[in-house]
Amino acid sequence: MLYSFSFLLFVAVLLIVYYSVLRNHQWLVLLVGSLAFYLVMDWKYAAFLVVTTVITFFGAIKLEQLTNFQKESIKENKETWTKEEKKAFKAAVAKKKRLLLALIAIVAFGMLMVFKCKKFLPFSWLILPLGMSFYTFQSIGYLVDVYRGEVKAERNFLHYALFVSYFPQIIQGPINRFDKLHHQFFEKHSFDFAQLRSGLWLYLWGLFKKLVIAERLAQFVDKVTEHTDSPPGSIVVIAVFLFNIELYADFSGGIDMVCGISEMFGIKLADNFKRPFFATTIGDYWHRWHISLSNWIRDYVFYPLALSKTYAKLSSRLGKRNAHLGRTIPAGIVSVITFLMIGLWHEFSFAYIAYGLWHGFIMASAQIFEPCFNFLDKLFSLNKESYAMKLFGRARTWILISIGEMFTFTGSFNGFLRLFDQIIHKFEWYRVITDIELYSLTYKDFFVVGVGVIIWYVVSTRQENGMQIREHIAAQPWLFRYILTAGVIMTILIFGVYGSSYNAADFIYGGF
Amino acid sequence: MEELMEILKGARPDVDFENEEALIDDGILVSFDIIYIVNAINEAFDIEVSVSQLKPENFNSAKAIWEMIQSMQE
Repeated sequence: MLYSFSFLLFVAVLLIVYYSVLRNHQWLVLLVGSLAFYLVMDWKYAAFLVVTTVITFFGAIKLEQLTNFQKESIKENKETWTKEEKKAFKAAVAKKKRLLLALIAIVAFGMLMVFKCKKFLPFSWLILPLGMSFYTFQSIGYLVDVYRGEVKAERNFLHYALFVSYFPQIIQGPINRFDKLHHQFFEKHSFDFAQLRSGLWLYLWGLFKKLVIAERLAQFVDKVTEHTDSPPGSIVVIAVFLFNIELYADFSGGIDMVCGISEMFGIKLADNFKRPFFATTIGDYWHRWHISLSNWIRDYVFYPLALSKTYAKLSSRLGKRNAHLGRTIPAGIVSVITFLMIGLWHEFSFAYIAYGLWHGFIMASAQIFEPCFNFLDKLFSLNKESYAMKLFGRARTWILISIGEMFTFTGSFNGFLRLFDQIIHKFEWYRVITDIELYSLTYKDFFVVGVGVIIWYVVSTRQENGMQIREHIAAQPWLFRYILTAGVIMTILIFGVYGSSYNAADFIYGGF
Repeated sequence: MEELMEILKGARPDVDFENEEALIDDGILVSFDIIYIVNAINEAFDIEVSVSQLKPENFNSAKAIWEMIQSMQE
């Protein structure tokens, strides 16, 4: 999709029109392009996008009108109303606002849930509409922002439609915030070759990760998961390890391509990754992995739950017995609920419920048992800041993440149990050497992946140390830049897994 | 301010709240800490911090938190 000839041609035509004949109506170019893109890709399900856009657009205006009505009425009756009357009026308007917000959220999430729960419903043949998980969350986020008075409701329907349907983001996110994205569409974007080139570099880097690493590893991982009874435990462990790399290469590669294309139009999208496998704890990991989703869940689910009266009461009651438990038990409960939601965002299935609960319980345990961990650190004189401890933390996080991924690895909870059984009862380590080539990939393929991952790791290490890679390349002599760009394109063409004979998998997160 | 410092030290004894200016931006305080601090200041100062006030500019330093409390009490 993101690397087909027709898609690249579409982007090229749009860019030419955007910066030339229609440079005074750039937002209109993006809107028409986005709608055309959606209709070509998924016209059958476009109605859902329209319904979500319409209800959140009018809902936001109504919410703002109610807020204004409340303010004006109180101002007008400042002298005549008693304190109690003001309070009662405020509560009545707040109730109306809450009801309206809940109603729209139920309709929007309800439509999404039908597709997420299709396995349990009589219409399992349904295919999730393009970008539905992303645009639903993005538009509900906007609605809540208006409800809280953080942003003003957009009064132009077409302007708002662009925010919801903007074509690069609709494929697989990131989930953008209205206050960060919307205004960018209406700023004047003059043609800037350096910006176009920078966007192209990001796109190529994403393409490299997707085609050279992810698509190659997908063949191995798919082969192992297809034969869940036969592969020995040792191969399963390798597959889980490689699945982690595949998933990250696939998702971050796709996001790089999306962000690169958007940058060519002068539009900066929300960050979605910050080198997650450098994380030393699961908490740190969720600050680095799928950031736009975890921030959404934090702001619209975790914080409201954690600031509720029930939470405060529970925290205060427990706190009277034990300050530490008062602080961590309620937060732990909320953590489990929020991670369960993250799991369900992917898919309504036992596998993803287990995935969410796993992450929630780890997050909660890390907080609740923190004094025990601190005691052990002191007992063994462990310095958390030392390189060895950081390395240990990264390895531990990787293992915990891998166990979480194992729940979803085969697409079912039974599959997870079968694979787990293979690891326990039929590990057979020697088969890693004897059987590794039986699962679609040759040693040459593993070598290509290995080199690709090393390059990726070196780049990530530099970024982790604060280097702005693209600015750094831009500062190099032109000959170096062109050789590097040509080299990356050649590498993708030679070592990428693509072509008409190979059915290139769609982006994994495009399916969520 | 003393009462606030006590709450902050109770939440995270390892943090130098007197001098830190980027508690959120540098990732020193995580969401668990923020929730604990907000619930504690709500109770101690009889205020109600809303979700929309959970912004980095309100929580980056002890001074910023104190200013937010004072503005809510006015």
